[in-house]
Amino acid sequence: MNLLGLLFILMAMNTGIAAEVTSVHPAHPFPGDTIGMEISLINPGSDPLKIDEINIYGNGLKVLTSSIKDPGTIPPDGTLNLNLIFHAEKEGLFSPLIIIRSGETAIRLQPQISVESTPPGIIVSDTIRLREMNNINFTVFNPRAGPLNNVIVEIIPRNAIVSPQSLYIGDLEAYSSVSIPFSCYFKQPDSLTFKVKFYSDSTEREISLTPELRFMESRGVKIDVPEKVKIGRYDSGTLNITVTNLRSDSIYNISLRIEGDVDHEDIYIPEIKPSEIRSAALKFVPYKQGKYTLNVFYSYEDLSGAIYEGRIPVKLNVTENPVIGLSGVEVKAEKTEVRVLGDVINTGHSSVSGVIVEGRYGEENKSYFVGKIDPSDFNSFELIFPRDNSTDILLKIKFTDSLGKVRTITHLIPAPLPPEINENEFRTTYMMVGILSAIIVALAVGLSWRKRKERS
Amino acid sequence: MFKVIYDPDGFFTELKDPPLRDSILIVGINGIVAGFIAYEGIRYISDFLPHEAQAFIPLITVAGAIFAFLTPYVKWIILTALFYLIGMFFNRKEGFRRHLAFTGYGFIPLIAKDLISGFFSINILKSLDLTSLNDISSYRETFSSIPGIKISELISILFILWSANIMVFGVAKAGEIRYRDAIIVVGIPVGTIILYSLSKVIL
Repeated sequence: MNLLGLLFILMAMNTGIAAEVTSVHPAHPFPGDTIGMEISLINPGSDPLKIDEINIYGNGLKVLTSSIKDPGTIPPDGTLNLNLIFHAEKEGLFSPLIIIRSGETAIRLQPQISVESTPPGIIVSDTIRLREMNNINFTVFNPRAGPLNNVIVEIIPRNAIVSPQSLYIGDLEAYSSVSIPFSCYFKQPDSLTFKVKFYSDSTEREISLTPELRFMESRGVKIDVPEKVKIGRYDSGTLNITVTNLRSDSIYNISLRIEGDVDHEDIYIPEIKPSEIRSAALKFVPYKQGKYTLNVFYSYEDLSGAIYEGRIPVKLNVTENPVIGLSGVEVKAEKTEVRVLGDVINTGHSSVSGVIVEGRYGEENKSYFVGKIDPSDFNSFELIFPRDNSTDILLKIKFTDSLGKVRTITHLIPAPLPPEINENEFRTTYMMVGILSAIIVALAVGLSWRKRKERS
Repeated sequence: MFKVIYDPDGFFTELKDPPLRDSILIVGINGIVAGFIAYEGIRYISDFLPHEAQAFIPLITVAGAIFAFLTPYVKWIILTALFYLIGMFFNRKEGFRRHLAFTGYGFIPLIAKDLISGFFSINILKSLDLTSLNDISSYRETFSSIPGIKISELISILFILWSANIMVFGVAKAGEIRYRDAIIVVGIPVGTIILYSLSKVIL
């Protein structure tokens, strides 16, 4: 309790002496503090006043200045200042007794001094998520009757990451508190030590506090991936992936890719902020037909540099129908050449570019540049070969898929025999039919005249 | 009726006064075969015609098929008319209608002729490069110069001879003239046709 300004004036009617406690330092002492008390003795009279003795009784405080013999004479209208020293050994409200003797007169001075042991405190009320950078508050409170000045809090972690590590809070009035934001990252439950430096009544003090902390597991990151995908071979597939950051801090260097028998694009996202949902389309092109499982591999880092990885399975059904096919292929065998006509159709979901139809007929290789074909579109091609006796034509469709990879699909189509061979066959057939016709006609005509002759 | 193809004399002797209906039917079958072959041929060629002609293709196809169907009837009437006229020089009796009824049976072998020649013609047509089909007349020359077509023509002549043979007996019975005279009556127009066909094969 601050007793400054509290004036104890006990005046003897016949002596005219007055006494006053002018200051107590520290005003709010802690147990163990040395307390200095300044008292003023006032002589309001017109004659000098001699002070014979001052006796001091601690009444719970240890008195380091037990008595003062012959402290001196106070001139008329003068003042005599004396310093008394106590030592606070325990908590409590104490009333030291000071008796001032002057001649036959004695006056008593009994100020009250409160010795308080309660230090400032710190509370961390927010729950801390493990393996996340938590942006939370701690509260510094002053439970004392007096202010705390120039309060500085230093946070001393053991294994955690804390920011900032030192905070200047300033003055903290009596019975007040202040909430201070800070960030902390714990890999596992641990303690935090708060070193609080402050001034109380100009006395520098320091205490270390270890508040109780509550921990919970990290909410982590939610990654949604489709369970099943059906697609044609060499077609461009897309896995729509949603990454939801449920953490209270950002994640960095997010990497998504596919593991399995497909060609694919990788996705890199530099940062996803807390509570942010990010969608990404992971493109892939399957080159193997059948039903099999892919894994979507993901990895990301947190602020501490810790890397998190995982795999999510996706069932893939790759049908045999490739993205690019032939339609309406017609082979025309002529006298000197064989022409292959048809359309290249794109039955897939994305454009293909650089489409070239290459053909091999006999020893001859030919190619036809078709170019880009959009989904559900087609382009015609025509290959002209010199006539040959080969019975089939090998057609290769080369194209660049949506991932920029060059693919080749092969078709073997039968080639009709060249016209010359057909003509020979025709000629033989005609001759046979002609001979047969001649025989039938000759028989019919001959028989008709024979019958006629028989009848006549 | 089958008897007419190997014993026309016996058939016509038994028939005496045949109905015109049978001949109309026989020539009609001939017309259907000819119409179908014409339809198939035009349909195949139409794929190679210029774009500006594409709009007329259905019309051309139908018109071609109808024309081909009617052609045997026209031939039948013209041939009978010629037989009727030439028969005048050999004291033929009876009227034109009776001649029509007897001559119609002669078209039976022509059904087979049209089937065979039509089948081969379409096959040969399909073996030709028709992608630059602008000048049809040049293709006709090319078409007729193909050996297969020439053989087809010779086979056709055989069937025409068979038809002529039946018609000789028919005309003899219809006009009540001698067989020798009937050979002349039929031989003049049919021979002309055969000579024309032969000229196409030889030249």
